[in-house]
Order: sequence, then structure tokens, then C-alpha cells
Amino acid sequence: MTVQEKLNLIEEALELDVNSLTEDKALEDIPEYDSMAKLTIIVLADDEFGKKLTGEQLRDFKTVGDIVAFLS
Amino acid sequence: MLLGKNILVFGSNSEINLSIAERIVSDQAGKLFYVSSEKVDLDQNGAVEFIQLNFYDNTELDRLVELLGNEKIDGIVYAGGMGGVRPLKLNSPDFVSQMFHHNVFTFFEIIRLMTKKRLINEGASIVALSSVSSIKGLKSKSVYSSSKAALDAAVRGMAAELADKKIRVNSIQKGWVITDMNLDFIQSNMAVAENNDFEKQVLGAIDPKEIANLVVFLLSDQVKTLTGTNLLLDGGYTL
Repeated sequence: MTVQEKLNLIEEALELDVNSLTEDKALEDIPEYDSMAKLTIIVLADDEFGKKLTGEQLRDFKTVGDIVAFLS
Repeated sequence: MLLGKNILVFGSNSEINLSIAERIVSDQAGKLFYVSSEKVDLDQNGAVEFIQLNFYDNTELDRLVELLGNEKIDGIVYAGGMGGVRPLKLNSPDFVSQMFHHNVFTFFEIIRLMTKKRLINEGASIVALSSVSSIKGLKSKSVYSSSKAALDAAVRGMAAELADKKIRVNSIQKGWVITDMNLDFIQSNMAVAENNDFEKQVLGAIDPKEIANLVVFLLSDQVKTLTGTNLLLDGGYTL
């Protein structure tokens, strides 16, 4: 999966418009990045990438790129 | 309270399930058959007959009935099932189907086989482990909650149908248990939640031994007319 495809997946999880995110976007600047969005990321990481993402790891993420990097 | 009674427990190697088994043994039950797909560390000096099979597989359940042979059962505990938190948009058909299979359909199949083969004694007691989620609307738990609500409803219907054989059927709607804190999905859920849901349980987390005590009480003859109920053991969560 390309970086752009991962960004699109995150956009879908956060219910954002397609191609509205970039890797350097700070998570704290995204109002839609709430608790349910975080849970969605956790489930997506497991379902789509077979990766276990903990709440603690998630809290350390600062940018959209951090999520993309984890999904690599 | 369970002197001489043969008890059949379906569970995993979770602390709640093991507490139930230990409590049943300490109550001098007749035989305790513990059915689990996982290897279970139950050192009870040979008091437990451990049957390792995947009871979520209907073919394996047929094998269980064969293994039991002519052993009649006085008490059944369904402590199986699965958890899982998911936002609505990720409730895939597979996820929904798996949740209901583990939490409801398997329970139906167990009771169907046991009644069909007449393996349940008159006056027996059946206990299913449900959850307070059955009666609470919680974000990301709609599928889990629905499955537990279905289990609670199943218990009422079965209780009505089995009453003529004096067989009682009840469920326990448990709240947060101390050991739940160690589960990955709960940890993740807590880590992302704005509010700590645990704090709503005003009496704190439940000790697995409390669940075991209530299970044994329901299995016993101490309450011969308690049937078709969903007993809430939630530390005050729903107050």
C-alpha cells in the first residue's frame, strides 16, 4: 500500500475529504481526531495490516506521518 | 452447596473462569468437567476433568457429548464468548457474525445437544455469563452489547421451556472485573477515551471470586425458584 493510499485510509477513518491530509499535518490540529477516530485507527491497523496498536503508542503519535509510518 | 453435583463449565483460561472452577471444586461438587479450547492450568488434585476441544465448533460439540457418555449434568456454566470494541463503520458482517456465534449461537447449540441427549438432570441449573453492556448504550460496543442482550433473552425463553423439568436458567450481567484491566482492547479503549468509564463503577472493579460466588449460588439448591433472570453484578455502574 502506498503512502497516499494509507493517507486515504486515515482520511476515511476520520471521515475527512479525500486527499485532505498530508504526512506533516499535526494530529492536534485535526478536530475530527477524537477518541472514536483513535479507536478506528487501532481496529484498522489490526484488520488491514495485522498490527497491534496500543493506546499508549497512539498517544505518542504527533503527526499523520507517525500513523502512516506505523502502518508500514 | 454443590455437594455431589456434576458441573459442566465452558470457558477459557481467564482468571474469572478459573475462579469459577476453583470455587466449584471447593464446594465439593461431584465431578467438574471443564471444557476449553485453550490449555488450562487447573491444579485441583485431580478434581477437574479437563476436556480440551473447541466448543465453538459444532462438530467438536458432538464429540463432547460422546465424551460425556452417560454422565448426567446438574449444572452448566457458559463462560465462553468474545469481546471487542469497534466503531459502527467497522462492524463488518464477519465481525458481527463471529461475535454472535461466540456469545449466543454456541450457547444455543450446547443446550440443544444437552437437552436432546437428555444429559441434564431434573432440578439442574444453567448459568450464562452476560455483561452490563447488555443494558447500557456504549460507544463502540453495539455488537458486543447486542449479543449479550440476545444471550439474556435466550435465558428467559429457555427458563420458560425447561421449567417443567425444574431446570433453572439465569445469566449474570457483570460489570468491569479487575482482570479486564489487563485486556488489550480495554486498555486501548481506556487510553483513547476522554472519560474513564471505570469511575462510573462506584464500588470499584469486581473481584473474579465474587463472580464465582454468585455462579455457585445460582448452581446450588439454595434458590430453587430463581429462574429466567439476568442478575446485575456491576459495582453500581448502572446507578
